[in-house]
Amino acid sequence: METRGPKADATMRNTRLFEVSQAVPPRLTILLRLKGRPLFTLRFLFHANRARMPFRFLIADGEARPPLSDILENARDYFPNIDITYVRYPDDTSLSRFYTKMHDALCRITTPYAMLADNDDFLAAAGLECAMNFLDAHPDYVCCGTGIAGFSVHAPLRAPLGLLAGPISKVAYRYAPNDLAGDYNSSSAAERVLAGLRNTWSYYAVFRTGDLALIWNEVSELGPASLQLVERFCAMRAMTLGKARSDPAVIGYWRQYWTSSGSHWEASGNTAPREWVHHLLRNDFNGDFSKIIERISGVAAAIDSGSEPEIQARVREGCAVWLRRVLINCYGGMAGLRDRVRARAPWLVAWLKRRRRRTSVIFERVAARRELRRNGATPEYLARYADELATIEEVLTGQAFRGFLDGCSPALKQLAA
Amino acid sequence: MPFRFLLADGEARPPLMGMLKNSQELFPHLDIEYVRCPDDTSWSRYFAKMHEAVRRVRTPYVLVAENDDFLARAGLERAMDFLDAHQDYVCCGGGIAGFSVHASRQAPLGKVLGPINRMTYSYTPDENPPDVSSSNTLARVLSGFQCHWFYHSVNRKTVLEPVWREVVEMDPSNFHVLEHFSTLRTLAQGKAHFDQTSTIYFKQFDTSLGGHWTTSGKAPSASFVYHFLRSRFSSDFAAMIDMVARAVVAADGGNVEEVAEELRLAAEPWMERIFRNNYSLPNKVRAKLRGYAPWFTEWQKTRYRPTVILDKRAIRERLRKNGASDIYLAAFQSELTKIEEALNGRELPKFLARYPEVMAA
Repeated sequence: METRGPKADATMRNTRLFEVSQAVPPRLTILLRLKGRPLFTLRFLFHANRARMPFRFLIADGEARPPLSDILENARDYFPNIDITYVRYPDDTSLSRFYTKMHDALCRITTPYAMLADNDDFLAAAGLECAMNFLDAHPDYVCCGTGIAGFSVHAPLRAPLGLLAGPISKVAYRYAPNDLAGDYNSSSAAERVLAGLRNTWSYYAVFRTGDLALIWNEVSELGPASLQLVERFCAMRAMTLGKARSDPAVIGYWRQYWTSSGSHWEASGNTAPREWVHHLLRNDFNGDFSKIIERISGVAAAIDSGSEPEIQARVREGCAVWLRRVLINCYGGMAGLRDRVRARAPWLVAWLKRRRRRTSVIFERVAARRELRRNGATPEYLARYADELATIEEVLTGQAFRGFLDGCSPALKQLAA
Repeated sequence: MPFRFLLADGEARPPLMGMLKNSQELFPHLDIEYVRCPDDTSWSRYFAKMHEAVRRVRTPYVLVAENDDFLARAGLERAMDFLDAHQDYVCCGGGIAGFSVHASRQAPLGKVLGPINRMTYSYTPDENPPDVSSSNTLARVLSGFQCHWFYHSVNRKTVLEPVWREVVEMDPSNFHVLEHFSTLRTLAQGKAHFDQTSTIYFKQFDTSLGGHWTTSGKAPSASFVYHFLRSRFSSDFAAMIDMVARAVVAADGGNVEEVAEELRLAAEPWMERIFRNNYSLPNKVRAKLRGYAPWFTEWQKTRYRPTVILDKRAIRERLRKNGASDIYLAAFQSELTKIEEALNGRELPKFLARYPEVMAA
């Protein structure tokens, strides 16, 4: 494979595994960032393989451990229908290493489009193809998102595979109810930034590869200590690079509830979950925030030939709305109630999240389809959507995936999901 | 009052400046030193002024006071007596009572005059963790995060001077950090005592300039996050922790990073409280009310409240319960009467009437 950007570190072992013979070379590379949750990685790839996704998969492993690393190095044998490149990186022991890994991995991508994915989620090819078609036809757009649907899995408390497999117990047309999906098509970069700075969909949008690499190069330079700030920076920087759109008529990404690793801050992945304040008091949040605002407003002012201080003040005000929501979420009235329930009845929380059989999921599926149709989804797309959801359910509930795990490696059974 | 008053004026303007220069004539019973400082146009200047003012102090003890409050002589004397008798103590605090005045919206002098309409035993939370008097420096400092009475307590001059010198060095961008730094840094220097049987300071509600942040002056009604995102909170906090941890290690030995981590852990509930105070449900309701009906909020603050009689009685009861002697309670009552006289009597309005230019200003 042709490698762009900086030469890989000596410690990195780049293993080109498999070239799928296809009439049309893939246009999109999925960058799968790995750190932990090995069985979810296998589930993700198993699903992609089953769905014969016509994309390239670049797996950037920041915690390469056997037996998963052995499987991924021989991915051809396990996932013959997809094109996988597996890159072992030094362990993601700090966020700066993670940023370097991300930038390096993005520089290796040779397809015109790239997107990020997490191993506890699923992709939906039809939606991603729509996004790429849109970008093909609109060169002034830097990225195109699709709907990010949410789902959760019903699993008994002592299920050996945890939330890895089980019947779907919740479906949401939008993973985040307020992801601010829309068309950010203003000709002014500052206006796009202001309109889109709180969006959450662009993190999993299909990007032009060079632009996504540029964004992560800057993330690596700025090195913020909070991933929440990284997400805001990525959202804002994308808006400075061009127009952006999220297509409400398709779903391209399925995110699972309750499986996030929750490591929003430097070192938070290595310790027990802590309060937001715990990390705030150990990091330079304000310094990082100022650097981000200066970078974004500087770029936007240069593009628009506008006043940097004025743009900076407006962007800061927009970010205040975002931070207020974060703080209300962590320390508002409902958060207090939630914390009390969590402390006094953890079993109730666990039951609400995973054990409860929710018959309302039938209505949620109908509602999701209705939303898609309402937003302009065609009957052809809806048929593909139904097929894609069926494939996901097959992976989650069928015997094929369990059988695959059994056949992979005896050591896998010891890994907790 | 048998104290020396050092007035450090950071906004010296006539006519008040002229009056204060001749304060001997106006206030013959007081020993006043008036110092004209450069305008407090920034917090750095304010910190420099404070440091310079504390440096000028020639008495062994010093208390920082604000002009919208009142001092309570009996309590202050008890605090000084305590410090005289306990050389290992660096500061002694006492009750900081809160009061507000009943004033109509059209009152020409606003909340300067008027009958007291509300009183509380404690303006701020009056937690008094026993560790503030521990002989272990770290234990003392850790307990400092629960204390809110240090800022208006009686300090040894030799203790307060280095605190303000370090504040100048640190140059924090918010008062939350400043207040806790001064508390922790004081506790790093020695033991502290909180006398719950006396009141040393009467603090007026709703007259504070409300400036917890360097941006408060520009946007007084802006939200917490507005100021937070324009501040250097993270670096201020890191500097505070570093300076205090070094002071603790210098006193008791140990590892700076380990002490710093203990301090950070102790700071978490404090910071959470700040967030909850700003984003809890009652706060949201209050903020909405302030936005929709500011007149109602103002009316609530300044309305006539006959229950103030019960408030005063409750304070006396509280002091008695805490062990205040009858003699002290009589002194407290007399001090309170004098404050009420100043607020509600004829003398102060008559005095002010002699200076119409001050009234106009």
